[in-house]
Amino acid sequence: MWQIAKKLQQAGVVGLNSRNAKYIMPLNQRKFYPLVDDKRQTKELAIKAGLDIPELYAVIEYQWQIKNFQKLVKDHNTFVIKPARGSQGDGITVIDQRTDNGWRKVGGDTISDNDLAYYLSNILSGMYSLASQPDVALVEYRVNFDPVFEKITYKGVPDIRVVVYHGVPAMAMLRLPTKESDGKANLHKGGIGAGVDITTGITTTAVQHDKVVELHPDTNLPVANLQIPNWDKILYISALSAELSNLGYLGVDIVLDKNLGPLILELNARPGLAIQIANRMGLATRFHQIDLALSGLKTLEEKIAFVNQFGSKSIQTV
Amino acid sequence: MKNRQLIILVTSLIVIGVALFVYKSTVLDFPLVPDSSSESWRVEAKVGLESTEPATIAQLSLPQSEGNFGVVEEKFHSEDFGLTLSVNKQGGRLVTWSANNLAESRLNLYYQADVFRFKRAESPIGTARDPSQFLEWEFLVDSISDARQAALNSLQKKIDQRSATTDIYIRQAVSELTDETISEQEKLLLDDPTTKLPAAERADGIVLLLRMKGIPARAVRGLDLRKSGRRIEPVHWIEVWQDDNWQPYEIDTGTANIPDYYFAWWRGFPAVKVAKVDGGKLRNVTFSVRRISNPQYLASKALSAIKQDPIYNLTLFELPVDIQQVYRVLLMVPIGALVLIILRQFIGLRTFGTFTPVLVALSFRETNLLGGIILFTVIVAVGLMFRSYFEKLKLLSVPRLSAVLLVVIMLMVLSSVLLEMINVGSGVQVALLPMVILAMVIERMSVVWEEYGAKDSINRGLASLLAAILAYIVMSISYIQFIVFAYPELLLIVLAITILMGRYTGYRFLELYRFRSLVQQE
Repeated sequence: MWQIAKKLQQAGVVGLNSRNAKYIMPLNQRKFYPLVDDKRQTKELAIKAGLDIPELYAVIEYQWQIKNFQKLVKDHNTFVIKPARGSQGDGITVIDQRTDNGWRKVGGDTISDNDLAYYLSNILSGMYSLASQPDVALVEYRVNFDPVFEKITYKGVPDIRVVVYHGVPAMAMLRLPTKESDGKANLHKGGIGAGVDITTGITTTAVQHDKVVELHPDTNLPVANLQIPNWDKILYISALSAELSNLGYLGVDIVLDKNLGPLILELNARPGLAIQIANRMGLATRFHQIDLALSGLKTLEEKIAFVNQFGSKSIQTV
Repeated sequence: MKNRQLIILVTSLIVIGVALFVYKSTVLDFPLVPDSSSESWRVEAKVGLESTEPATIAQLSLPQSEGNFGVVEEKFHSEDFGLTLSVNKQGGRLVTWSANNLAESRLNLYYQADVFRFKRAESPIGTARDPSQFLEWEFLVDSISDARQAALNSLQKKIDQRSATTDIYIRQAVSELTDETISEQEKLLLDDPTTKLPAAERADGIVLLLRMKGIPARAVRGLDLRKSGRRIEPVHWIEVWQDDNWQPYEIDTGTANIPDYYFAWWRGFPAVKVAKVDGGKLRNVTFSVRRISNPQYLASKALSAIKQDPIYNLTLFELPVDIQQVYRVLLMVPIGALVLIILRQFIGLRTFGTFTPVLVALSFRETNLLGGIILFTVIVAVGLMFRSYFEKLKLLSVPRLSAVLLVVIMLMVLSSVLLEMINVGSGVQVALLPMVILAMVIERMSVVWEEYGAKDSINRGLASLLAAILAYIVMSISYIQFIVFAYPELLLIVLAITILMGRYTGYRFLELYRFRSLVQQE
């Protein structure tokens, strides 16, 4: 056991305790949390900085607004409903289209008007929010995702997670929904995490349930060696998000829209550690490299350019 | 900078905690292990009386904690009487029963207490540290005849002449009144000149002779605890003020030191009775003694009853027993929290709610472990079913949570009644299961169920239960309970450890498993 711990230490693998104590606590001041925990504020922030986000159609703040839901979304057939303060992708519903007496969800299930109203009311009462605080429901543009990932995606929307350390994009992964994850891109729900070469944006290895996989389980196609389009823009968005949010340790979630390009889905002040498994590499190693060079990295451009310093090499298996 | 503060804080907490602990255990002689060497008895005094007047008042002398003996769990049984406790001017305790217009004229009053004897004398014996009031004797002889006064004086002189020291004087006085031969002077003093005095009066006689010499002395009456039975005759001895302490003397041989099991009940001179009755007649007072085995906490309480050191009295043992019981539970919470820190921070167990397992573990104390596990599982399972039904009814969240809470409470009531009906209820008290906590567990569990599926949800529920069981097991180690209760300052050390553990940034045990593939050959 100690041996594994020692090897992990040498490989720079960050555990939850050290993530909390060494990165989140010193680098992320609590006063900046609301900016990222509340997706509505995140959107406002991004719009001000000229970053693209999925357009917000409507906000449901009060129970009485639920009655008018149909009116609120009358211009849209397909959209996403999410709790503004939901964590880890909890409570998100993607509506595909209106049906006779309800809505069809992506995945084929239908949800009646009644059930939808109850679901909205649950969001407002804080069922999905951190610490069960009252919340608001956001209705937003459903991403029309870039077909580049179509062959390795089961329904849902794949997204890209970039971990940004002191403003420098340090590690990235591509999250792919599977049948098991019910079309959601969350790894702990059974989605696939593919490591991404931070310099080039090409996928490397992939994991599901913390185990290495070669092929997407539903489409049986290899996940590796895929170029993510617009990689430079993704790096730019990530670095700028970190600057805007004032958080030194940040997870940026980005989706690729077929027409609109990269859009910021959400920011995360407590990004998880599975990205290390997806990339087969410890975060601390890269953080250390960034720490050493930090004094020389002043501008956004310098910070983005620093990704070229990272070798694409993964952990040497000992 | 932060590290230095941390080190200073942690070190000072540990130093203060350890210092208090060492001071109490060595200087103040607090026990380090639960005292299992103490012996205990249940003693009872029955006062039989006959009421002759409307207002009846009865007084009974009571024993107190002193020397090797601790008196706890005192109970009074007195039907229609009101009772007050007081201390007389010699420092003896009294209970006064009073009643008006009693329905029955013949009745019994009872006093019962548990007496602990410790190997070591934990406090000096005898109350009244001012010996001057134990010197008067003239009032005793005022009323007797001149001939007897003369005989008494001559007896006292005779003893005095033969005694060079106080010690010898005491022994001479004892042997004069105890030995077989009846001297001329004694004959004059005795009502029946052919027999020696019974022990009760002999003790008075010896005390009189000592006081005439100017030695503070008093007669002591008590029980010989070695004799257990229903009607125990009291034993008598004397206490003499020597070297600023009351020294007991045996009155058969005149040696200092009395048998270990002589338990003082009341002190008095001359021939003070253990009980008296106004407005009625005292029929009899009988004592009974019975050996018992008593729980540890009573022994600790008895110990603190004997100790009269003010710092000792600052301990939790001084609190009323029911409040002590509350603290016994409360002081275990930090220990349970420590277990939880280890499980979460070092093992990486995911539980519902931060301290939920500790609270559930606390409730296991009431239900016993197996019963607690079954109840927890049943209530959570049934609660989940109701929760999903309420969900179908489309209730808003607060009313839904309250409805689940109601179901939980009703389930608890139901299980109590059922358990009582099939007669296993005696040991099982469900009332303290933290129902609000259970309702929250059910809520969290069902959200996880919806979002991540049954497997995750049940896993985390089981992890919470496992954490509760482990916390319960640690919290019910009786030595930990004892040592934390006797030395609450140890919590400072627990605090220091907690702070130190808060700075642990290494891997959690389960992370080694999770990240293992990163460093292992495929």
